[in-house]
Amino acid sequence: MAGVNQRAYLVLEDGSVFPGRLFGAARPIHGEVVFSTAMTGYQEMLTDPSYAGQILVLTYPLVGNYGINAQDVESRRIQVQALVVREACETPSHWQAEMTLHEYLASQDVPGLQGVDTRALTRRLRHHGVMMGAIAVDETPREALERLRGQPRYGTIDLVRTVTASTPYEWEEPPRRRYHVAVVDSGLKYNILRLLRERGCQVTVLPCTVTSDELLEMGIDGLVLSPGPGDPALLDYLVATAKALVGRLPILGICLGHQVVGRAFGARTYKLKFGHRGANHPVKDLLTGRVHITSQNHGYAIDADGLRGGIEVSQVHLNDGTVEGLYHPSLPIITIQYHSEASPGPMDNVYVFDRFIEMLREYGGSR
Amino acid sequence: MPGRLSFVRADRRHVDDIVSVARAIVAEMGPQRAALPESLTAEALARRMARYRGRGAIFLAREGRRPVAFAMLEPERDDPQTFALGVWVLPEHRRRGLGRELALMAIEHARARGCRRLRGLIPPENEAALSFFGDIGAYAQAVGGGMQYELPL
Repeated sequence: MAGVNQRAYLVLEDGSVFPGRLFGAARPIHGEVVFSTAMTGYQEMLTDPSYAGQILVLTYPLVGNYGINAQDVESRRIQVQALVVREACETPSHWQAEMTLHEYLASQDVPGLQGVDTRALTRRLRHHGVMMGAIAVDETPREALERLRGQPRYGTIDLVRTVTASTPYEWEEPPRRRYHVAVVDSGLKYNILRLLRERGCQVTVLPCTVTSDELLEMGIDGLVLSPGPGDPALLDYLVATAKALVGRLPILGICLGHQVVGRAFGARTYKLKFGHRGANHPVKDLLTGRVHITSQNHGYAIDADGLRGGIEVSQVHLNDGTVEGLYHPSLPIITIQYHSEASPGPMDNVYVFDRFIEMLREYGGSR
Repeated sequence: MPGRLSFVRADRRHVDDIVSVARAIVAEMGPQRAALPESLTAEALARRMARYRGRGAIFLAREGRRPVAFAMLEPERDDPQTFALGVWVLPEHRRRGLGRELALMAIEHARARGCRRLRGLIPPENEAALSFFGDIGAYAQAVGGGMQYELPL
């Protein structure tokens, strides 16, 4: 019978075995193993739908020290397959803390593994690239590896359909309504909705399967294509929706939404070796020359070579030169690959929402 | 009252002590899981130690006069910069840090002889061994039908 503090393993698809001790739920699981370098914000990361299908490794050595509260969730549930840390704090201290990290994971049947050499694990992932992995509970590493080899790979599943809203819903009304914005939920974080509301937007959240005709019939002022998990190459239906709305509505694409817009303008996407996940990624704005420190969580990027239709690269990542933003000189479209909504991470980039509001005003006029 | 713990680099005088620990562990978990020969003799061990020529070594832990654990460090034939390390601790003396202490002695010895990495096989079903090598910083990998570890020095 599996239990807390029981010996368990993270087994990577290359056969690497990382011993640890269970916390949270005690059950075997598999997923793509990725790491984040963010030093805080574990609750936001756990509930970020972009982590669906993934086993999240946190490089910061002590996690859970300020507990779990009701305010910092970014979606309705924990989205990661499992959490791997060096040490999970059992005695959190914060005035808002309502439970421990262990209790939070256990309450939603999500396994955690602690005591893992996360530095060695991260070095392996950086060197060899992200790979599939399994948490072995009550089985040998060899058995877990065999089980893992029978599972579908991360990039073959349309994870957006597993995290999207099942039905449309309205976010809390703004105190003074200026615009009506639709957010296509591919795995959105609540802070996007909070920040739009703060800027006077009535926000309607729609499932990812919404069509362009349905959106146009709503009479909305603008559209946000949200972040989300998985390979954007699987999302032809979202690309078709975006393509049909180009030039007909102001569009803001964030993360996966940015990749969807890129595909709508002819670009292909490709998988990064180990992705960008953390809260201190430097991005240069090519229009202003300014460097922004950004919060990121993505494993795929746009290949700018395929872009057509006049859209241009507006921002690049300073570590590896990948595309971090797009803009169109004559159409109301802006996209960013990083998370302007932060949560976790620096709030430096909420200006992107201000630019979107400017675009709404210029395109449709204030109500 | 338990005696004082001591750690020594073993020589021919200690082969009986080492064999007694090895036999107890084989009796506990079987030769395969223990990764030890079923009928290790003092003579065979003495011959093995003679082949080390100062590069390989065995380290012995005792409580009082009683031998309780040992570590065996042997250079690999094909690669002079790689040594194999195995550590064995009597069941009632585990979780006391003896294995780690012996491993540290072995690592210091190996480093001084130009060793760049330790490597070895982890017997199937021996989760304690897997955990031990993981805890001292080794990288473990499932290879073929078994497991092996590697610890860069």
